[in-house]
Amino acid sequence: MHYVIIGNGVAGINAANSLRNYDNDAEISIISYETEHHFSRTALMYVFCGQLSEQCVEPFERDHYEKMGFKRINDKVSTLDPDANKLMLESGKTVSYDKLLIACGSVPAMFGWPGSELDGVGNFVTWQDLQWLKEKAKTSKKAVVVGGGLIGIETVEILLLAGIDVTFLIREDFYWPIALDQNEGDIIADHMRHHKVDLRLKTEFAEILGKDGKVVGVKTGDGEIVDCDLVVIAVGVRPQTDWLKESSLALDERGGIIADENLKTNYDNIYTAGDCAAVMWFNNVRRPEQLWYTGRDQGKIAASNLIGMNKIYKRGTFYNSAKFFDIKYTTAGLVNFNLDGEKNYFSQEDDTNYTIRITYLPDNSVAGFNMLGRRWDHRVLVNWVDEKRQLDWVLKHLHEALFDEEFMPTFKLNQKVS
Amino acid sequence: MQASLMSTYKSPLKSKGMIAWVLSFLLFAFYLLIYFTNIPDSWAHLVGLESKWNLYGVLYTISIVAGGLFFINTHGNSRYQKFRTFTLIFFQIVFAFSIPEIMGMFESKGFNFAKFWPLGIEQFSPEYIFEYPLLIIVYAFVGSLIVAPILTLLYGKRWYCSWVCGCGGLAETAGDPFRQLSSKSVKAWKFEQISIHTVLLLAILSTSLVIINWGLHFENAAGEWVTNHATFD
Repeated sequence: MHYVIIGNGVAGINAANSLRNYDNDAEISIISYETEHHFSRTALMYVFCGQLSEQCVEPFERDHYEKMGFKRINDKVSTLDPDANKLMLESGKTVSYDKLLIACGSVPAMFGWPGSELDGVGNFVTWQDLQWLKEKAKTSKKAVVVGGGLIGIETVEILLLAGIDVTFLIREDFYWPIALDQNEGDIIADHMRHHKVDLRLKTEFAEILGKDGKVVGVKTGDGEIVDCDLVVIAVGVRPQTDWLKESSLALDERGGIIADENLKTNYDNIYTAGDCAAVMWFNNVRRPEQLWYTGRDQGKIAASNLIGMNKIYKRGTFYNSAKFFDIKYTTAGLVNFNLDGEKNYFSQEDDTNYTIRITYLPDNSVAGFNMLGRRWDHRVLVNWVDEKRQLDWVLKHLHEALFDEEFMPTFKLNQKVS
Repeated sequence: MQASLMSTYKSPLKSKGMIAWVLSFLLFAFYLLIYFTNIPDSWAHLVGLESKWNLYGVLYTISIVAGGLFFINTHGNSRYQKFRTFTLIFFQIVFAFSIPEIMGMFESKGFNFAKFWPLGIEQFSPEYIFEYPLLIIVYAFVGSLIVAPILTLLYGKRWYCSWVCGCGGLAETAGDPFRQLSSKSVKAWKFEQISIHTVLLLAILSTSLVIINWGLHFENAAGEWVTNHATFD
């Protein structure tokens, strides 16, 4: 049996490891063109800064493929022929498979703005982007980052650390409305301005201006021109499935590979996992989950089903964590989903950025948490959401979910808004 | 992210550049001189110190203080790291350096109250420890056999290695900019697992031999190889 996995990101490598655990003799091939070794994409910013070396972000030792008996094909797949069980590679070679897992991830979304092709315009998603940005940062004096999400704010932070002035263009009224509310977004905005970010909220991005093929500035929706020699576009990612458009593999309107509850595509021997897979969400919307841990979980589930088990992929209660410059962020459950009759409890400790927002339902059961400043244990928060704990009970027990390092100032609830 | 972490893999000093090799060579030469020659004694006299080991103690303490301040500059955004580093500096200045010096002024043998067996392997050598007053003898035994193991059970080995110990202290302060250079391979980890237990075993074995020897009063020719005082000075 020949298993072929496209992609050695977190979904692909976890699937390969699981396959090997189930089947010691199977032939397992991994095709990828991005890097020789699997790496932690979420740590790219630390490599840029020189806080970690390139090898530091490889979770496995370099003899991993050899030790696990994986065949590593360094190539890019150009087309898939699902009826002939065949892949055509860019080098001209073909690879036949018995069973295939597509875990090829995403690519940065670009919306065809004029000037996107200029030298000095790029993204910060792939290993190649990292090399590009490192090179550009050596000479850049002033950068514009477009897109108020996680990659955007991380890019702003590392460019500032590299000594570059940064203008941050955000289309929305406040930072990251998909995850934060106005108050939380304002706290992050103040924090960014404190770090000398030239933050422009409610600012559309119209075009990139160039001279002799190089970036010289950016024009906003209002026609204002911001001079710069570097533009990083971070307006989200989309499934990397352009190479599948001609095939008969079913894609959704966003380009995600349609996956059933077993992560199977419309072909019985082809599965998908990670950023490129459009899976059913709790609210019956089908879309990709572009998260590290869901990619890992999907890879494992897909591997089980590839060898013939019948495991169902269910994400369970949402959780995530991040850091906005120095401000830690933890979320669990459903906040910002406008649930029927939801209310929000809000607390902010005096003279700090430590905030708590708890979304609860008309029956007083908690539905979600959004926490800034302190560190929280999402396992505890997720349990409380799953157990539908009452708000009063949760407030009394909140300290049990604290995950701060020792010697942090004592936690105190300080209700401001109800 | 801390701006001072930016240089971890970029500065030649922290990533095996030329200057790093020169520094390691100088340190290596210094240790060879201090352990195997008496040349550093004359350096000590120059600055008004009694012997090379006093000089070494002063330099060691300066390294921990200066390295500690650098560490706080890098990791001081965390209250935990701030408290921890100040505690390390405190233990080095007060317990490892000043108290033994002050005891010396009162014509007593110096004792480092922040050291326990088996790191302070001499503390279980009867010939060494019985020269101290009863209170210090009890302190050494209770500290090594009861307090240290219990604290380790409660907090892990960090309570000692990262908060109290002078060896860990130097590694966590002056040594911190270079810690990323250690090998993280599975091989290195396996070696560590084997080596730490081997060292513990050797410590127990040699200490037992010394105690047995003391108990049996082998003081002459046949037993000289285990009773040589110089080993424990």
